[in-house]
Amino acid sequence: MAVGPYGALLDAVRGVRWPARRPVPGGAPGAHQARTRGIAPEFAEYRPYRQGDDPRRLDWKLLARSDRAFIRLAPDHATLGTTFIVDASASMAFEGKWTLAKRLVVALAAVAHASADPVGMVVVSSERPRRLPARARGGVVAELARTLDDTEPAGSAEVALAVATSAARCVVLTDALGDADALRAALSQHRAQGGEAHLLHVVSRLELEPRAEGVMATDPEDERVARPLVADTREGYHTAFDAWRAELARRVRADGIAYHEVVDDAPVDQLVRRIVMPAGVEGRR
Amino acid sequence: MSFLAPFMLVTGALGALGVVALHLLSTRRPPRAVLPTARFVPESEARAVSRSSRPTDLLLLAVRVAALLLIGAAFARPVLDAPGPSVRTVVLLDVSASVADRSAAARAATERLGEGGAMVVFDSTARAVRPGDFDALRDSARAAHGILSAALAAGVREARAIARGADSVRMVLVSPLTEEEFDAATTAMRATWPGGITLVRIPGVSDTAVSASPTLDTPLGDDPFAPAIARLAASRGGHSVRVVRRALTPSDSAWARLAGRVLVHWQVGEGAVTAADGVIAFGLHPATLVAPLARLAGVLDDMALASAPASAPASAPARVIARWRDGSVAATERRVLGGCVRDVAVGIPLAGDLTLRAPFEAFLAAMVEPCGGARGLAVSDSAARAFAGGEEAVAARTLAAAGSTDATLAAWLLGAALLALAAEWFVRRRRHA
Repeated sequence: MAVGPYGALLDAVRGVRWPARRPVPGGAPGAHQARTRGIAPEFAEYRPYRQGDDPRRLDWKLLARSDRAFIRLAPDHATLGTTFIVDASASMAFEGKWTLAKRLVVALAAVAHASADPVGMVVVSSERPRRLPARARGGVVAELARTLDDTEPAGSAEVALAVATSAARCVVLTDALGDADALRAALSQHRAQGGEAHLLHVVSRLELEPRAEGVMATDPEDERVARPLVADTREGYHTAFDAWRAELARRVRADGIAYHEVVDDAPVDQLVRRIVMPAGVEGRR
Repeated sequence: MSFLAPFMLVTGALGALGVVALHLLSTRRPPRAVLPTARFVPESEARAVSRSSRPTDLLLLAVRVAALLLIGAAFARPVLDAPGPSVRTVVLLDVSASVADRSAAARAATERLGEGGAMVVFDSTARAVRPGDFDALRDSARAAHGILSAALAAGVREARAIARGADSVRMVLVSPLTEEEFDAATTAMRATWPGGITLVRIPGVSDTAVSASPTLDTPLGDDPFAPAIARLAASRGGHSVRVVRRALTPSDSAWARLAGRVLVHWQVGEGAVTAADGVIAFGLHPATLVAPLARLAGVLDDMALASAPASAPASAPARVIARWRDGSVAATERRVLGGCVRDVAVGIPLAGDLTLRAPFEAFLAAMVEPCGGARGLAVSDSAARAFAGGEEAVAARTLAAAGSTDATLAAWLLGAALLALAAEWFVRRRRHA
C-alpha cells in the first residue's frame, strides 16, 4: 500500500480495532456484532421453529428428546461501512488543522479497513464535493490519502449536506466554524436512522492560545470579520471561545453523537486510540 | 519678548509633552493575521494601544507639538520689549477753578514730565494734552470744578499707553486737592492705579467756602425775593453779595470790581409771560428749579454782549452758570477785576409762593456763590497722603496685563498655530489614505 508520509502513523496504529458503538445491521460478515442472529458455531439461544425457517437449523437432538421443534441461534457479525466527511474550508488551512485532519482520516481509515470495513470519504469545500464511495478493497486507504493530499482547503463548506450520503458510520472532521447547527442536526438524524455518528472537532493550538502580540484577527472565510485581538480583548476571546466549545460538546453529546476535540499538536496515534475507544470505556477514563 | 501670562506657556508645553507621550503610546491598527475563530474576539475599536521606545510618526508629532506650543505662546500674551527710558511719568494737572495760579501749576507739571511722559489736564473733564496744547490751556478761562475720578481714569489710560517700552510708570498729581474734587467714584478709580501717586500740592484759591450774605436792591416794595434773601443772610452771615433787581448802573459795576464781591443782576421782569419751565444751576451744589418761569429776553441780549470778547483787559469771557431745560443759557458769570457780575435771565413770578419754597432757595444759593463757584476746603495732609498711597511706580508689565495689550504678536502666533493645525490635518489624512 503506497501511503507515502503516513507509513509511520499506520505502523503506530497497527493492531488497533474500532468496534462499533452498538450492534450493526446485518450484512456481509465482519468484525462487528450484528443485530441479527445467524448460524455461527457458537450457541446463543433457542427460538421456536416457525414456518419458513430453514429446517437445517433445527436442533434435531432437542426435537428427539422433547418432541418440540426449536431453531438454534448464534450471534451474527457484520461489517460497518465508514464514511469520513472532511471539512476542507479555508478555516481548516489554519496552522496544523488540515494536516491533522488528513492524518486522522488516513489512520482511522486504516484501522477500519483492517477490520474489513468498507471506507469512503467526502471532501467538502467551496468547490464540488469529492466523493470516494465506501469500499473494502485493498488500496482504498492509499486512495484516500492521495485525494486528501491533492486537496487545498479554500472557501466555505456546507458539511451537513454530505451526511445524508454517508455509510453507517459517519465520521466528520471539521472545526465546526461553518454550519455547526445544521451539522449537528444531520448527524443526529443519521444516528436516529441507526447509523453511528462521530464529530471530530479540529482545533488549532493557536486558536486555543493565540500569540501574545496584538493582531487584527481576520476570519479567512469572511474578511468583514476583523477584530483586534489585543491585551484588552484577549480575555473576552478566551471566555467566548471556551464557552462556545463547551456548549457545542454538550449539545452534540446530548444528541448521542460521539464528540472528540482534537488539537493539532497532539500525537495522532494517541488521538486515534482515544477515538476508537468504546463509549463506556472512554467515559470511565 | 516677555509674556504676560506665562502659565499659559507652561500649559502649552505640558500639552506638547502629553502629545509626545501619546505618540509613545500610540494607538494604531495592529497587523492583520488570519484567525478562524476571530468571531469570538469581542467587538471593539479596531485600534490597539502599543508602546514603543521611540515616538511614532515624527512628522505628525512635530506638527502637533508646534501647534500646541504656538497656541500656548499666543495665549501667554507675548509683549515685545522696546528700548526706552526705564521710568515714565504721567502727570495729572489740575486746572480747575480751585487752582489759584495755573501758570505755576503748569510749570510744576512740566518740570515733572520727563521724556516719553504724558500730561493729563483736568477740571470737570480730563483730557490728555501735548506740550503745545498745554501752553494754550494754561491761561484758559475755564473755571469748572475739578473731578479727580475723571483725571484718574484718563491718567491710567495714558499710563497704559506709555507703558510699552518702559520698565515702570509713575503718576504725579499736581493739584491743591480740595474736597470738592472728590466724588463717589474717586475711591474706585484710585483703586485702578496699583501704585502710588506723587502728590504735588499747589496753592488753591483762598479757601473760600465763605458764605456770601446777599443784600437786595430792588425797585419793588414787596419783592418776593426779600424773604428768601433774608433767610440766606440769617443762615450765613457776611456781606459780599448784592442782588440787583433793576438795570445796572456804573456804580454797580464799580462795586463789583473789588475782590470777593458778587453782583447778581436779576431783573424783575415785570410783565414777562411765565410758563412751566425748568432751569438748573451748576454750582458746588447743583440746584434745579421747576416752576412757572419767564425767560427774560432783555437780559439774554445783555448776556450775548457779555459773552463777546471783552474790550477791557480786566474782563474775561463769561461762563455759563445755569441753563434752561432745553440747554439754552439761563445765567452767566463774568469777571470784573477782583469780583464778578452774574446775569440771571430767569423771571420769577411776583405772585405766588415760589420764592418761599426750598427749590428756589437752593437755586438762589447757587446764584450767590462766590465768583468762580463755591470752593471746598483743601483736604488735610494725612488724607492727601492716604489718597496718594506712596510714590512707588507701577511695573509696565502689570499695566499692560491689566489693560488692552498689543495683540499683534499673539494674532500672528495664533495664525501660525492654525497653519500648524491645518498641516496636522493634512498629514494625518495622508497617513490614513
